[in-house]
Amino acid sequence: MRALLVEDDMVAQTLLGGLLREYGDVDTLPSGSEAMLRLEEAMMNGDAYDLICLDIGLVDVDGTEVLQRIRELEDHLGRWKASEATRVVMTTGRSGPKDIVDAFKKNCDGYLVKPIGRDKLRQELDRLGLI
Amino acid sequence: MSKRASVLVVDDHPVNRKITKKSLEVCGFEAQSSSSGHEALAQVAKNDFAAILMDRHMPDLDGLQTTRLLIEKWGKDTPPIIGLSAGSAKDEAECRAAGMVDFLPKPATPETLKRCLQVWLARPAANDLVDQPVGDALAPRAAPSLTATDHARVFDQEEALLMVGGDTELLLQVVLTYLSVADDYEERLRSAVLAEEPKATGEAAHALKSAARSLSAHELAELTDLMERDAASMTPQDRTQLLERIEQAALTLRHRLKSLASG
Repeated sequence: MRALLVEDDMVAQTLLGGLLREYGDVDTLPSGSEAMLRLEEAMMNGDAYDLICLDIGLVDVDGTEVLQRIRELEDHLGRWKASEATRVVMTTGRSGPKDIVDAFKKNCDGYLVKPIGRDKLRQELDRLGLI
Repeated sequence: MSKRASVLVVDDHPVNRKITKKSLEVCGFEAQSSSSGHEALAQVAKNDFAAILMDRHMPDLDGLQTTRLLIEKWGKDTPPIIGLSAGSAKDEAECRAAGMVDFLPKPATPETLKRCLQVWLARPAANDLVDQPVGDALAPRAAPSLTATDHARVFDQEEALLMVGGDTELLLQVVLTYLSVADDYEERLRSAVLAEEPKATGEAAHALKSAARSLSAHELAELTDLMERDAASMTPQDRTQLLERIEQAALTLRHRLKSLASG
């Protein structure tokens, strides 16, 4: 499994990155804008990630905006809703109904509220058929 | 303490100086005093003090300048310097930024002085702690004796280990990451609060909260959560008070983590 973790807090990045590494390669980026660039590049090169973990409260571009951009790109490339669509899981401290509904409306695959430990992550990856 | 600890009182005001010195003696400390920053520099060069009580406002060399000069000269051998001032929270922030390890509002009662000094005089040697930069504004401090429940509120080690599925190596990495960014996060929060910028305060509190949650540092996570949610509706005084509690919680946490990381 190849994963991209978008997280601006270094402590959460170390924790979640460390947990994800158990299942494969992990790239980490601290901002939404960098994530969008990286994802566009990866998709254009046919080298998409299997999983993207997206924090919502990023300093520059909101995580849900990054999600929207991912789905637009996939749509454009004819991949969205195809089996190869990238799994996107929101990994955030926000647990309000508005944030959750908004993320699912924009077609995230999962929503994990921090703190995210080993068991919670494993269950989610299992549910998504990634492990 | 096997021998009576000697504490230096630095205050330009003769009456204040006398009162503080007397209070220390009542509490069982041996006390000496200086009436100026220059005099204090000379006395520290000649004596081995267990701690220094430093007035913030003095003519010529003030408490901040004197502290910086002491740290510059003695580095990690500088005795813990505790700031004293009748002034505002700004004074406290300035004292800590200059390298003082603690701060007491004036007038400090003998009980307050005793409690504060007991914490500092019981602290482990600076070189027992990892990576303590010389003159760190938030120098090592001993946590007051805590019960097991308090310990879990500061840092819930059991929960933290569960989070990483028992991977102690990963937990250590998380702890070290926190220790490397905590200064920066706290400084951002402090500046935002002191600048009275509620939006920046909320954002900085969010960053520290996120880090604290990843660590199962419940007390710090809850206090920063409060700051994040309510910063905009609080008075500047309330924000400053909450900041003080956050800084206290962050210091206690840091101390716990450092002793764990080095043990």
